[in-house]
Amino acid sequence: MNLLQNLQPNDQDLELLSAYIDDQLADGERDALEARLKREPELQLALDELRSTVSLLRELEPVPLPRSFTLDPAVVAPRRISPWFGWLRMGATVASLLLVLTFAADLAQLSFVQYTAPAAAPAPAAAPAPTSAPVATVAPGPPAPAAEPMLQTSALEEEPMNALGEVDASGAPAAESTAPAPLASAQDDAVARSGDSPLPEASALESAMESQLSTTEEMLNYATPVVGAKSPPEAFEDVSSEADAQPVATWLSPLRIVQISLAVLIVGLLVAMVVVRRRAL
Amino acid sequence: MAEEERRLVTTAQHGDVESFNALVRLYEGRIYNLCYRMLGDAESAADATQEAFLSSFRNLRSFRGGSFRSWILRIATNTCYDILRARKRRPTTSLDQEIDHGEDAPPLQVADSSESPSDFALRRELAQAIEQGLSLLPEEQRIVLILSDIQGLPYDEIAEITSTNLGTVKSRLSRGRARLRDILKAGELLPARYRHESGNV
Repeated sequence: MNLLQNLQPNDQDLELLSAYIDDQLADGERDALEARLKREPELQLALDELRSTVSLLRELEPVPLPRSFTLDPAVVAPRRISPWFGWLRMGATVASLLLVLTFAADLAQLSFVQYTAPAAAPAPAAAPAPTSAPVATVAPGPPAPAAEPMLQTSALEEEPMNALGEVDASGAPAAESTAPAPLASAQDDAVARSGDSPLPEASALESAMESQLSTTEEMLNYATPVVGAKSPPEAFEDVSSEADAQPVATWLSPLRIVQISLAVLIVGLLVAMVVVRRRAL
Repeated sequence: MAEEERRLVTTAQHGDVESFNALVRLYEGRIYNLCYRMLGDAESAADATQEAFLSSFRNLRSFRGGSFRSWILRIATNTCYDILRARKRRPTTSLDQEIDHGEDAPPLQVADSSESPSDFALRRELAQAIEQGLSLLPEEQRIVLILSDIQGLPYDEIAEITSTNLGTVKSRLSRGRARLRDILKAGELLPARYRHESGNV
């Protein structure tokens, strides 16, 4: 047995033998192999074993079918989707393209405004002086009613005043009488400064307020009287009214309305597509 | 027959399920047996056969003529490869379990009523031995052996089904046969008459 195993034909001979079994050799190859088979018993043995193996495989009986494998037409029949689906899909595509175009137009408009804005007016952030003059140039909108800004400003002033009261109670009772001076209207402040105003105490109070509220700091600075300038509350209100009015105008622009309408339309079309497709299943 | 088959394919390509089912009836035995020999168990073979026919129906428009038998056998072969790959990714069952058919083995048909019980038992033993030997072969050799020696297909059609060339088919076939022979001999699975013949040579 060991001898036979040592004399096993190589892969090339095995391939020849295999093709010989299947009658796949050319005439010349077949004659040459048959001549070798007569001379080489180990090759003949390998051929017999391979033939036995192939015979075993060919004698193998087919396995009976466990069931039929025919397809159920109800399951595999092609789906008939409503022609509406195509129209809905086309509508959604067109609406999407229009939405993209509106966004592109929006972007183009924004970049145009940014390009032309520096030439027209300086940006509010660029105003260096805390006086109300630059603020007035930045906020050219319609003048706000005088009463309302004053009320708002006085309401905002309540907190700094409380802070001043605390500082005074802790260590500077002399400033108590003069404390309201910088926090009152511009006219009051001017009157207070024209008399014997305790300026050192006032500046100390100002520094205490700076550490508490930055908005209050701005208001205190605005309180410095400038002849011919707009009063601080007015300036403050101008800025806030400008800031409030700008988003409202942006959100209510026709382009934005078109964008929202398109978005709603696209969502509606997509929902309709889903409904139509589900009905087809 | 070929003309009828072509007509059925054409009508099935237009969505006629009944025409396709006529094709299924023509090939389900061959496909199921291919899957059974490749996968080694009846349940997986049935699943693979159904999946192959479903896939064929869905992709029937991609059939551009030629041999429908080769085309559908190729789909079945690829389906079997997919299942074997999935088994390798999830090796939850051992190889011994897979080749241990036992009670799951399909019943062998009694070919001849005059067959004696001992002959029937020998035939059953032989079939199990070959199935076990086949399951130990590499997949690419196994499929070529099944297509050539069990299904009797020519080399060129096997090359088409397995997406290879004639040289590869010949090489895999010779190696597969030699390996199966070695397995059968090593495990003394080669039936007594063949062992006896081999021993006499």
